[in-house]
Amino acid sequence: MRIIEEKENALHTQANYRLVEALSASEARYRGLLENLSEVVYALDNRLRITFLNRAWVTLMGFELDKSLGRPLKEFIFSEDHFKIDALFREDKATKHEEIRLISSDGTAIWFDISVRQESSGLDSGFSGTLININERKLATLALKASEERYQMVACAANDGIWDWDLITDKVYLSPRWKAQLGYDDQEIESSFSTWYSRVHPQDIDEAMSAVMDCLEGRTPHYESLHRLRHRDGSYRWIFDRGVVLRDTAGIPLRLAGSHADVTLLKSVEDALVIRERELEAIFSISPDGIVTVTREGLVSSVNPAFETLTGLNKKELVGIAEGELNARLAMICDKRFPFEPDEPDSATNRPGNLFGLDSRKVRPQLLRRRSYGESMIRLSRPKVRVLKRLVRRMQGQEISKVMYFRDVTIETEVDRMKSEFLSTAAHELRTPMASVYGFSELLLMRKFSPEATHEILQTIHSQSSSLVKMLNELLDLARIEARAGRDFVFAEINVHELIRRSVAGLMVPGDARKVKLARFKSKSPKILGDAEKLQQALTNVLSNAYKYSPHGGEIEVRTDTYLDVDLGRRIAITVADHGVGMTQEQLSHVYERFWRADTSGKYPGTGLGMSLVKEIMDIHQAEIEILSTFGLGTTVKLWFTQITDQGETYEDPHG
Amino acid sequence: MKTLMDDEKHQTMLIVDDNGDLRRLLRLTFGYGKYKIFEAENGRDALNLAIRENPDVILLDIMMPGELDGLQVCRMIKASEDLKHCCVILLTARGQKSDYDKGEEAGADFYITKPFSPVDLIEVIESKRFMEAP
Repeated sequence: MRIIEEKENALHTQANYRLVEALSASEARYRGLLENLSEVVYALDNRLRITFLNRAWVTLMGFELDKSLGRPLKEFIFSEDHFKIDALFREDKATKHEEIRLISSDGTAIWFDISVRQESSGLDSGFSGTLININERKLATLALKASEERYQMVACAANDGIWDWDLITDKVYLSPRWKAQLGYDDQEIESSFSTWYSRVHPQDIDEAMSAVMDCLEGRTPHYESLHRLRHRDGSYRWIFDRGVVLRDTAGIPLRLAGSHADVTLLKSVEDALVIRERELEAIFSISPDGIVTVTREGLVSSVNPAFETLTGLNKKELVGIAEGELNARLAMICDKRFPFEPDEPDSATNRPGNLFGLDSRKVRPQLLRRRSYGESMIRLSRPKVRVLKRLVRRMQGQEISKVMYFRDVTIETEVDRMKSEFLSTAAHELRTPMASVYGFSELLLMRKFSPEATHEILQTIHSQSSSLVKMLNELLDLARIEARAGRDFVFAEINVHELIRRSVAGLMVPGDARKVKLARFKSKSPKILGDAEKLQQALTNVLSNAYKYSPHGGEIEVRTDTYLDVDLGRRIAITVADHGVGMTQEQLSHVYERFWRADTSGKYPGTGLGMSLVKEIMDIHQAEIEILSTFGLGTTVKLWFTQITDQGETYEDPHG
Repeated sequence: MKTLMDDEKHQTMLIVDDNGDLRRLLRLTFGYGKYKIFEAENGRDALNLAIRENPDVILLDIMMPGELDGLQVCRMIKASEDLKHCCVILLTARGQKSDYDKGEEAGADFYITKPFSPVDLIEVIESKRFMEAP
């Protein structure tokens, strides 16, 4: 603080004249210095009138010196700050400060820091001091305060933790709530940047810091980051961190302040939802069932890949269309004999149903009520012949009001059809001989016949009865083999020549004098692994067919064939060849079908089960049947097995 | 009844079945002198015989080899102005409801499942004839 000597005081005595001269020289030096200062230097008398001002006053305030000197300082001070001046000059401390506004010549208020020193060296006391322009800093501080208040009003929920980072001093404020979110009391952790930084999850820190930098460097208007913070108990909490930056007029960031919201619960719910959605999406897309969802407004909202595959319709063309339109497109690819009926099942009784391709007027209505509630069948002809079971699930008051499942039941439907066909065929086959037995025996009871006629009728009854017994046995054999899947087969080493001899000997054909021509087995008999009894049954069936279907005679030859298979070793076939009626290729393709008969005239007795049984037995032996047949020329059946050696191995070196 | 039957001598009957034993049974059953009996083994022969003989009664098996089964034969007979008066009795081993419905739809007069009682069959046919007599 520079001291200004008052000239009047100094001129009191002549004795002081020298001193005054010296002082004058010193004052001149001072004045030179004062005029170049950027801050205002002032002096006031004891009535607070301005007695001195330097040039800075003119620069900052815009008033001329001669118009300012002698006037009270208060005239230049903004009226709201008058009370500060009053207090400032009343107190008797040596040096004091206050922030006040002065009104410049153009009428604007400028913030100054005023310092005051009381002068008590002379008789006439007064004040001196400086006015430092703090307008910029003051405005910035006020702006921060305002934005802080605004921020608190807008962003802070009651449970949010508050933080405030002074970028100039690097001081950080963390509110008690901020710390409580992480399980600490206010005093337990310090309020510092590292308190936050060190607790951010390692996977999140880079992203969080880049969000901070983006905001500080002005790339984003606000700071926002979702990251995990380590809680005192070691767990991580999801924190939604938001903040605003405060800058000075040059754009330099001064402070960054914001709030923490603990969104762990929200986040876990969201994560669970995301996981669930992914699971559902995976199910939706890998499901073999077609799935279509429909919104409350009746529009198709999603279609899964299976539905596209099943129907050949394209997802892009379906999403967004009305359900009625979807139904129309389905109707277009439906089998014309079974039109698609999108009606809900509860209205099914009123349908003009045409399920069986019959005239509906003549079909009893109960036959049409095939489907149970919520289910219907769709028979497609395009892109492939398919039977889809459509299930509809309605949801009350949901965004998705309807989910439709389309299950491909083509195979099940076919199996069902085959099963019921088998049953009705079996019944049919049993009913035919039964009709003879029942009818002829009734006639015998009711009427009188000659002894010859009676004998003939009894013979018919007997042969039909035996055919019934045979059929029942074969049906039971088939059922047992199928149900047991070979578990009751007794596998042992079988001498192939022995098997053939026993089968041929066991075959009795009444009234047929023919002998089977057995190949002469020169070498030692080959061996196979199998159930001797079952294989004899199979071979007997093949032999009996050979007899049956060569009614006009002709040799029946039984022999063995072998060859060496690279993978399976030595293979052996038991071959039965006849010169009978043979089969067409079409007939050959049905040969393993149950009850299928190459001859339906009844000329050749049989059940149509013989070859089915052979096939089942061979399948369980993992052996193959080869049939070569020419219509009118005869049939050759080969039963192929893998030969075993005496050492029990399945491979025999042909040169060994 | 007896007098009516006497009046109706020389009625013709067509027996259609691919099973020889069944044809024999039917011929024996109705071989009491009233009917002139024809036999066919398949649908095609049955239709030709029906056209030629214009029978009063046709005993018709359903499942037969060849291009025409019993139901088709029945439909054709019932669709023909000359033959639709024939009394067609489907004799079949197929006993399911849907089979019965198909028979009804084909226009058959009776549907009888095998095995059947020959005595009952005679009664069915004779009462049918009786009721239709003026």
